[in-house]
Amino acid sequence: MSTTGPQAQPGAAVRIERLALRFPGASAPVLAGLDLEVARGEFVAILGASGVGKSTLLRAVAGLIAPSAGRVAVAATPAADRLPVAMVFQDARLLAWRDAAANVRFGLERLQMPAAQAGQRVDESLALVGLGELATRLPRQLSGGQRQRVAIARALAVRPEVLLMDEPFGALDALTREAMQGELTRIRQQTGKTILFVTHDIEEALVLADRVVLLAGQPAGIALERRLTLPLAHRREHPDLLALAAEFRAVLGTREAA
Amino acid sequence: MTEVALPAAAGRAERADRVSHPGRLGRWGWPVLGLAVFLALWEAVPALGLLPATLLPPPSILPATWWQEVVSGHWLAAVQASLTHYLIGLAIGTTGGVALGVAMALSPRLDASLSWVVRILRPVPGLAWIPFAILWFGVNPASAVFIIVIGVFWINLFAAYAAVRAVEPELFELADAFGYRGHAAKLAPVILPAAAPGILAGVRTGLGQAWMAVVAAELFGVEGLGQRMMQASSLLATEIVVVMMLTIAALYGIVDMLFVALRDRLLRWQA
Repeated sequence: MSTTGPQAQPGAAVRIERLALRFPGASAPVLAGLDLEVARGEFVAILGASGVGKSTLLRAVAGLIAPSAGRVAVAATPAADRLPVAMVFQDARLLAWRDAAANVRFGLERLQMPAAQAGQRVDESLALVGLGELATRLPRQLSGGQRQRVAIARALAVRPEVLLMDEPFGALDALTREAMQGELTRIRQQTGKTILFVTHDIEEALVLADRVVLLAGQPAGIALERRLTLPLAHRREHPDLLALAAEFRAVLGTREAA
Repeated sequence: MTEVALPAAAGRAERADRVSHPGRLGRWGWPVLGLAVFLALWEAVPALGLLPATLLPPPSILPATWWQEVVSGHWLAAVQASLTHYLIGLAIGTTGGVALGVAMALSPRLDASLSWVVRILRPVPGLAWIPFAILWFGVNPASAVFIIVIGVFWINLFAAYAAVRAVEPELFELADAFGYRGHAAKLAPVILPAAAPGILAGVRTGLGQAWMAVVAAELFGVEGLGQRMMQASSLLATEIVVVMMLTIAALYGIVDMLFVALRDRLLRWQA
């Protein structure tokens, strides 16, 4: 479990040291010797081609798979009413038999808190993602974007130290996707959450993150890393973004061709 | 292209119309007409002397026969006895089958350990157990219940097994991610609700199967509808046999209707 490792350094929310990971059943590691630190409140996007190990890395941070070497530490004060990390998957993975509010409550049911407090958290989380009105809707009555908002609310409700997002907007149409990116930026500004965000979309990574890390190679390592200082509000149209995107694309292209 | 496609589409629409609108008799008219023709033919065969009434009792005498059975107390006693066997056997067989099916689906070790045992026992028809039922329990309600349990156990085992195996692995991962570690923690909040449609389909099949087992189990002498049918047929009172047959059909219809209402309520989240 990611929380049982050594505490991250002061200021670091996630500390990954010489991490090696294998796909289940595979002999060669997909990641080897990876070092990465995510500061408290930082938004780090992990970029990379399909199959490079981005999602596997996220699962290791979530404690869903054990590293074959190295370690992952999440700095979280142990508490009965919150989880150290929470995950948002590419498919919303809502429980079809529960309405939106009950889906948000799913993570809270494993935590220790009075029902009233859980109810309050559900309401707050749904309001935060702009779905307060749709609390009683079943997943099948929600659009793809709304379902993903419920999934984000479910993750936020457990008050995680770190929010892990695995291509959360990958299955959405272009317009919804852009709207959701804006929503995520707003939610992040409101909550100050540390976010580790996996995507294969260079523009998405550059529009959202404070730092973009490109994973490439076999086993994968960090091929390029850039800190972004452009103002979040106007990034999409910023000329520097194109230049950065070209830089990432060039490295990604060379590595994939190699 | 369009000129060719349009008439074809219109043709499909017409066919759909014909299927969904049975005509002037409407939704109830045709079934009632069909039933009436069936009863008329049934009545006609003995009336025209094509078969003696002892071999095919006409439907017109059935209401009076039923009332005689009610007044004599045979009908209620038989229904009560059979319903008791049915409900107890159904409850044990369904619970046992579902529990073992779920456990096997979740535990590869248990699945592997029981795979040959299941392969040997499953094809044995429930009725083949009657000799052992009599030897173990005697000619009494317990042996009827035992036959019914066997009759529904396998259906529920396989339905539950398949339903749990079909639960998306992504839901297991989701549960892990939110702290539901281990199958026991996932069972009530994730696995059973996700598998419920398949499990309930098995339960419903079992509801019908159990009635067959009830009759068979009572034919060898345990009190109930099956026993009453055997008594009546040995006296050539075939009209009583038919009354008991229709009683079983009615009881099954009621049980199935109640179950479907319950199922629809449990699964109202489905589209």
